[in-house]
Amino acid sequence: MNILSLIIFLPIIVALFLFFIKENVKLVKIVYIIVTLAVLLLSLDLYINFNPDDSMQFIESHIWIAEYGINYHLGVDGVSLGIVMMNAIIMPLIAIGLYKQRDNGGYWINLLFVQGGVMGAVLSLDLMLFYLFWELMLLPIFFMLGLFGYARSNFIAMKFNLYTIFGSLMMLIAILYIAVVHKEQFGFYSFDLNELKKLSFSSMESLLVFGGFMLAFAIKIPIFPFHTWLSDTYRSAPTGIVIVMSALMAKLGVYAIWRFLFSLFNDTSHLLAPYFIGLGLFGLIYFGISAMSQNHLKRMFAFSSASHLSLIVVGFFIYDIYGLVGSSYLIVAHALSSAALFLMVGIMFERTRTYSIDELGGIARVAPKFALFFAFFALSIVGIPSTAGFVAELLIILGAFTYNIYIGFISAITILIAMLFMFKVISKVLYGELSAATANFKDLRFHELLALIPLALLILAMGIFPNFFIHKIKPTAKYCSTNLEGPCYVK
Amino acid sequence: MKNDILLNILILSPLLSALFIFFINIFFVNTRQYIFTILALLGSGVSALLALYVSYYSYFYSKIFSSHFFTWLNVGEFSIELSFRADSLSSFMLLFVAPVSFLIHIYATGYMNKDKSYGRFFAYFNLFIFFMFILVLADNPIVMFIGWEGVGLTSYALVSFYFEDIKNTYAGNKAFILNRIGDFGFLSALMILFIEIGSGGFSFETIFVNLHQIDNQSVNLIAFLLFVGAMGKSAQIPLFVWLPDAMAGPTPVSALIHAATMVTAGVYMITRFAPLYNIAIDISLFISYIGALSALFAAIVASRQYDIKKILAYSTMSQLGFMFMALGVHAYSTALFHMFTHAFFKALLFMVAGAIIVSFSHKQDIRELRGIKYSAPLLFIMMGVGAITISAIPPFSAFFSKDAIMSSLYVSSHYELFAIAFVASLLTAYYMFRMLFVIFFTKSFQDGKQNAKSMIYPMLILTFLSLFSGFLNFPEIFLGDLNVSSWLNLADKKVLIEHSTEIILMFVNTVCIMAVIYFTYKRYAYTDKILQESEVSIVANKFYIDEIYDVVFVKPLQYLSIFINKTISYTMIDRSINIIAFSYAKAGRLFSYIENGNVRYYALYMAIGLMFGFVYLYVLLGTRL
Amino acid sequence: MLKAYMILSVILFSIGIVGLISRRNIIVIYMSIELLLNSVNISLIAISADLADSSAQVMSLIIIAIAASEAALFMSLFVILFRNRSSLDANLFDILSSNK
Repeated sequence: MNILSLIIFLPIIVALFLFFIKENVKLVKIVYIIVTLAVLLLSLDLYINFNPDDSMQFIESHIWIAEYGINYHLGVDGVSLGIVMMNAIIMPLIAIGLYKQRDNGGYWINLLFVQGGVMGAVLSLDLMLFYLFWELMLLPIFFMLGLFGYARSNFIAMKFNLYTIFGSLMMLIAILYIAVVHKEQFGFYSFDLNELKKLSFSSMESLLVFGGFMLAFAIKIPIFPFHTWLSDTYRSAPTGIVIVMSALMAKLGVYAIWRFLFSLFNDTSHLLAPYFIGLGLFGLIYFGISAMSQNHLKRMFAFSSASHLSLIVVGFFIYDIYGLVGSSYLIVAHALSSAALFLMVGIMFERTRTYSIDELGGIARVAPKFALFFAFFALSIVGIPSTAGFVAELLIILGAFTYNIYIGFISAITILIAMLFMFKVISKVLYGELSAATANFKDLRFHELLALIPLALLILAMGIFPNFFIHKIKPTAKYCSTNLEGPCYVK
Repeated sequence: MKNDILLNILILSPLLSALFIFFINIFFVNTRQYIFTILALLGSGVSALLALYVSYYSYFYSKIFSSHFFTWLNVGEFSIELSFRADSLSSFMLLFVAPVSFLIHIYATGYMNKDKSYGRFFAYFNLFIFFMFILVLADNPIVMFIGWEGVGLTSYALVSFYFEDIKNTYAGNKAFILNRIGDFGFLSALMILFIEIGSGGFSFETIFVNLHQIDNQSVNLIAFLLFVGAMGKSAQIPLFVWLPDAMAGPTPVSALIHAATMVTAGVYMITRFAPLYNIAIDISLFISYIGALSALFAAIVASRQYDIKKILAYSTMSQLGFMFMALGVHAYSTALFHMFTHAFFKALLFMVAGAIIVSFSHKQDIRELRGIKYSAPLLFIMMGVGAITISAIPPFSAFFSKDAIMSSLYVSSHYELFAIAFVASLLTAYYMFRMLFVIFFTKSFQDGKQNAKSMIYPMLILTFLSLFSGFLNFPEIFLGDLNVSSWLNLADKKVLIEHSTEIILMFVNTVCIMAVIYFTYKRYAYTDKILQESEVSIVANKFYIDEIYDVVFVKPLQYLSIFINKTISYTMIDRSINIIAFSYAKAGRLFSYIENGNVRYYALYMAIGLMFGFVYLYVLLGTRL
Repeated sequence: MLKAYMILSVILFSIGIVGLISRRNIIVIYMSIELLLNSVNISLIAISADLADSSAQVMSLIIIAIAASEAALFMSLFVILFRNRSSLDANLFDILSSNK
């Protein structure tokens, strides 16, 4: 069986079976860890066998619903490889890190569904299949927000869900419209990406359809001004969901821009690129400044995530090789850093029962290991050299400068933005006097270290030896950036 | 490429020792202190020895060491190799950076004795040295930038070392933030440079070969932005406010980072880009003016400070200003030579300050430290030597270096720069001797602890070096060889100055400085004048510069942040989306009035529906009915 | 001739509709329903006479039978409703309303 289908459906099927033994939480957790580790091994196998010179690989294509041209079409290329690896790496670490915490079987079953959904969305090359997995990702999150969330979780879950589904609805309309246009031009319905590339749209049409897709992605990423669900959702969500949302789902929005919009609507993308670059840069600075005055840890990191994601969007729309490689690298780098950081926030909450920055302090006095890792991950978001974030931001800034010197200066501001709030957090949380909440802070336990060390090592390795990792992404990026008129990959 | 194993060991030994110390410190509690000491001293000692070796060969045999690790990044035309090169400039830097670091290491083992975070200190200390080596030895600007940011990072870690008091961490934050603002300029400059000429490889050699291809405007822009980076790192106006606060770190940190190494990185960087600055003449003049302003400002403020370390911090800023003044008139070797001598006497002065602080129960205010001459005679002599040296009194080292700077300024026919430099050097003598006289020349008496041998010996070595290192660059009028300048072989502007003019300048300088010392003696020695000086003057409050920055930058940013959160995000956007949601709910409620459970209304609705059906039928079938 | 019967039928139908909607007493509502049924009967008979087709008369007979069974159903409804509320006012039976 094709490795891609295996990666997608293994978690989903196991999750379905786990429903029956939901009460035995210990068994559920162990099965979860086994399944996610299996997915990790398969993904490593995928990574090793991925040929960097060819673009789209491991393709699997079956006819599914012939009458409407819906195919079961999967494939992976350099950019999606990054997200697949992140998905595979982060999911087991969540369980290992939070092992003692979540004693509810439904939590882990839902996470397995999310993993399968994200995998499917990132690997599918058929529009309907993509939409299916896109929605599949959303449902478990809704349940987890409602069941395991904090503080007005019902309201927030509804708001998040409705907002996101509204965007997806616009995308659905656009997808259906595309299929109909295909029928008009070629005589049969098709949702398959390869077929749809041959379409030609009038400029008005393509603008509208682009807008429909873009709305869904803009809400997901989020791009200013569709960001207002972010702060509350991150605050109310349980730790596992925050990690998944920040590290995986948001990146999916950016990835989908690359996969669908850049290949189907190449001209419109280039036409609209300056607006999105401007919007991304504005969002970068806006979210960074917004994060400064937040007092709730998760909210602050939510804005930090949004800020970096805006930078990733900028990198993609610059569309030269530096921007594309830089953004793909930043996707991976940021996923690692933010997953680690939120994991630590979750660990911290278990001990101190508070997320408020004002109520924390002096953790470095009693828990030096924790302080070291926390400071390291926070600084990796700031982007100091020898972390992956530095390399990524370097490339994106370079791309921005080649595009336009003023854009370059504004995007160089990104190195200043993260430190505005990050240093305040580090000082307030780790240094100074102990507070009531942190007086009995225990240092990191073995299983928490086990979860955090791989992340730290990976971030360091990607920062010190970037070429080793980049050479898997490069050819895809190079081919796409030099081939601006036509389709973006070779079948 | 050639791969000199010695260069590799030089670079990697501090890194390895830092990693070992880290690992042992984190995972093994209760290790003996001497393990860390051995590891730390090994790390820095090995590199110091190798640095001497490298400089020896570079000076006497003009040998260039180079080494290549691997290709760091290769995307499109952007190809960065992780390679290092010890040419004469880098070897010269190594010559004082590595040994001074080693001496300060020895000193620090005494200073930080019995501190509970001993291991953590030396791990960061060695990591700092590692990044400094990367900075100095880098073969291309991006690797230099990695070292540049690396030293900023470790400086943050070291300044925030005593993190139990959160104010120290704020000082560290300030240092990192202001450094990074400079880095913003540096990075932009590098990007623009790459876009202009980076396609043939981005090492320093290839850059300077292709420099003529860039148009003048871009050259000026690049030069300016690079200097912004130097402004941040070397604490010049306007990005200097972190330096006085950084004195919150342990004194060895101040000695190493803020006297001898990190703050000199800006000077090194500009020298490295000398071909660029030779073209961008206007920016060079701008550099001189900033240097002059900083030198004068710092000297004025230092003359009214009461904390030993703060006086020394402002003194560093002032001396750096001198160096930048020289760089601006393209007298690169002169600036570097002053950096060389400055490293020795400033490190010595900081060490003495540290020794005083440790011996006299951590008092740092000079008004409280009076009368320690008889219980600490050695410290008195050493601080005396430091003060005399920095005031440029012959024949000690700084006399030669500072005099060379003054000469080049005079010759450049920018007499206003010369005048400012002259006033600043007079003030230098003033504030230095003020400190000396207040602490040592007074009738009171205090007793203190003895200093550890590990602290004394390095200080002795540095005293010696401060006195006599001037002879390495003996100027021509004294029949010397200008050894250092010829070794460096930089693109200096030729300074043609009459021997007689130079001697007159030297003489006038020295006499005026002697006069100032005498004046200071009269004012502060054996008097209580210092106690009468008020603390509330503008100068004493450093011209309120921190407060100004707070009002102009920090507070507006915070208000902006709150404004964004409350007004834009919450009120404008979120409310409007909630309004959509609520209006749906409202509409739903309105529609629910139709379902009032009353059968008669339902009958009415049916009748209305019927009516529409009939009308439609009528219209459809025409009037055939 | 047919026209007159049709007009009569229409008038009776309208009276029935108005009565169905505007009267509050359930028995009167039922009477209006019977009036509706009967007006349809009249129109059916008139058409049958006019077209000389007897299928309309058959329809009419069926309607009469159904109306009779409906009457029985309604009587039982009256009894139960009256037992619950002691009144036959249609406005009082609004438990299914959505705005309480």
